[in-house]
Amino acid sequence: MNRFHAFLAACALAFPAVARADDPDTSWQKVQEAFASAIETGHKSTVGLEVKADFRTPPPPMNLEPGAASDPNYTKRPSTPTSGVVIDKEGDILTSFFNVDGKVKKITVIFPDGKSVEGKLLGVDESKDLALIKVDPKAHDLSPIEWAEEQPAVGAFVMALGRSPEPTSGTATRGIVSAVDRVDQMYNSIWEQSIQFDAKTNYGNSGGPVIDLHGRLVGTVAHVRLQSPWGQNSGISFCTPGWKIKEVLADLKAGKRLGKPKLPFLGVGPKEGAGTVIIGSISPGTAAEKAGLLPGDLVLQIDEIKVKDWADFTNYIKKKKPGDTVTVKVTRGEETLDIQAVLGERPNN
Amino acid sequence: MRFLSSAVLAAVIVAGAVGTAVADPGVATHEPVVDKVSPAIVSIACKSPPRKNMGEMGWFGTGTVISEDGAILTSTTVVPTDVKPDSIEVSFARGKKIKAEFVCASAELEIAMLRLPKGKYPWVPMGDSKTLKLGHVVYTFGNCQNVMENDDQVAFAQGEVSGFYKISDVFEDKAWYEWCTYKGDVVETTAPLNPGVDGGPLIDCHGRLVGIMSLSYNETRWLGVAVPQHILADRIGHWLKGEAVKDAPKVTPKKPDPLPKDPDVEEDEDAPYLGVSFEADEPVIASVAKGSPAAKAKLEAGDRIVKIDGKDMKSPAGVAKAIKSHKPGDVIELTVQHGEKETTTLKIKLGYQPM
Repeated sequence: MNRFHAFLAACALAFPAVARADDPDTSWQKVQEAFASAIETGHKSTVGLEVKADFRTPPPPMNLEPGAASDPNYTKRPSTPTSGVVIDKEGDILTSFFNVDGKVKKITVIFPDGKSVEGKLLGVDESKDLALIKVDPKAHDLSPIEWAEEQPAVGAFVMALGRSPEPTSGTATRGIVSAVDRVDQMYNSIWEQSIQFDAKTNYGNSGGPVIDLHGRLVGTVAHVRLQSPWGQNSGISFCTPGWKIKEVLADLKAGKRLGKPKLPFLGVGPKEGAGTVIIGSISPGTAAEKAGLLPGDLVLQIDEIKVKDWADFTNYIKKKKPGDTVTVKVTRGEETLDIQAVLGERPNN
Repeated sequence: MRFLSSAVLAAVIVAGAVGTAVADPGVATHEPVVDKVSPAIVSIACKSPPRKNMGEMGWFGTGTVISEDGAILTSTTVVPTDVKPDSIEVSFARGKKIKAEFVCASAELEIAMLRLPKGKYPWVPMGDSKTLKLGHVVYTFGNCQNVMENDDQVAFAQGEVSGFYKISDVFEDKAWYEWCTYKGDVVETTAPLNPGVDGGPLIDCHGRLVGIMSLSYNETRWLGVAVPQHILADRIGHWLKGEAVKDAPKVTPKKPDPLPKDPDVEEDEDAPYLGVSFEADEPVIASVAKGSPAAKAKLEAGDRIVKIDGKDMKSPAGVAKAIKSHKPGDVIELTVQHGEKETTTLKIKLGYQPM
């Protein structure tokens, strides 16, 4: 019986109408064995990383005003190792871009048996929060992780594995897939489609694998952010999905450094407390200022889109590129004006 | 835990949902474990003498009855080693306050034992924490935010075993709760740990005690940890038999003996000696041996060796090689950089390797 069948059997005992409610020994033991077995499989490929580098302070998350001081919880790095995952017998190891963001001096890969091997940074992809490290395949036995064939469905069990604080024993937290194909440049370090899941992750988890119940690779854990702008993170995390990794794997192996795309920027801020969409502030030197938008303008429409709330407005701009022209219909006093603006580049990305 | 800190702790501990399934007969839930364990959980309140310019201190937390005749296991963050023995009050959920007797405490293991008046009590059996694996289902029970005092019920949370590591020097300066004294192996769990649950049990899926919850969490992980049962078992065994075994007096660790010399390597008594050591890959001095030629030449930790005899030095290995090319008594020309300052060139007479 393979693990999948073992888990199905466990489900049959644990969840449907089998009169076992009075016997915790039967139900939860089977379920936990499925968790433990997947974790054991995935952990063979999970490595610890010690990176010595002049780290760059990442720009502030996009939900902050451009130029704002970066959130200390966002820039924090653990004093213990971070994590990575071995993906092939050639010595390729995936991790989060955040772990190697800066002038890298030395990378030490710590295998589950505690042995250390020096690694070399090959390529990075900033907008996928991804980096590829290479070790000499002869330097240590390699147990590459198996890739999940498909992206897991929302609700599927996943586990985040890490090698921090103690690389030899590792950590594992279990959750479910909360959402797929999240594209969120505001709160997420991954700017392309990512998987949102609710396993608890911490600073040392970044770069480690997210696995399914077969112990197969679902994605790699993104840069962890424990605080959200409104307070404590409720316990959600993001990972770069396997299919997104495969898109750029050849480029990463070839040593390419893929940057983040430039984002469009109009340069207006909302008026706090307004029930309608009223421009509260204009950032100097931006497209909005050049076009002649003014604080107090009531926004009715952008191109063909009727603007009912601030999100309508910003979501439309997010889909544009720097250099695109938009027409903003505003009411100013008695007048209704059509103002054309050429979008600029969002600073600080 | 101590009363005053609860507000601070409430703000910093990761909260999480309790993973209880719908209570439908025929569907497995966590209820059987709750039903089995909750009746054996007690809330504890006590007082200790003043400390560090603070008045008399009140403490509260959770305990678990671990024998039918009423032995209670808890933490020294709930019942400190210097507790005022007549101040200890415990109560079961929906129960009256009962005076409990202080049996023994260990700061080293961060546990304390109390005893209820003669009688028969619901109790939790011991499990085996050595059998725990990552991913195993575990539970915490207790007097979270004083829920047993205020709302007459035991708070319960479910999670999994998420890590095994040592509370050690790595975390020492970051321990968030100053009264945690245990250093050693812990079991980490994703089951939420909240103030007042300290001293409570970590329970496995069979409803057995596999650890005592500690507030010794750290900034790297932000998750609850338990002192595992197998580390406590021996001491608990003695206490249950009425043997008041206490912590051994602290001994300052002796310096380890120097490594035995490898007989295959011939010691070169005539090796030249400078007396500096390096830690990283850069030829920057980490330490200078007392009385060595380097010390006499006033070299200091942090100095960078730039050149020896006019040759550029790029690594500690290069420095060693340059020195080995000489004999003791030879004078070398050494260029060093002290901090950001300009380099200075010194002439140093090499000595003999100390034996």
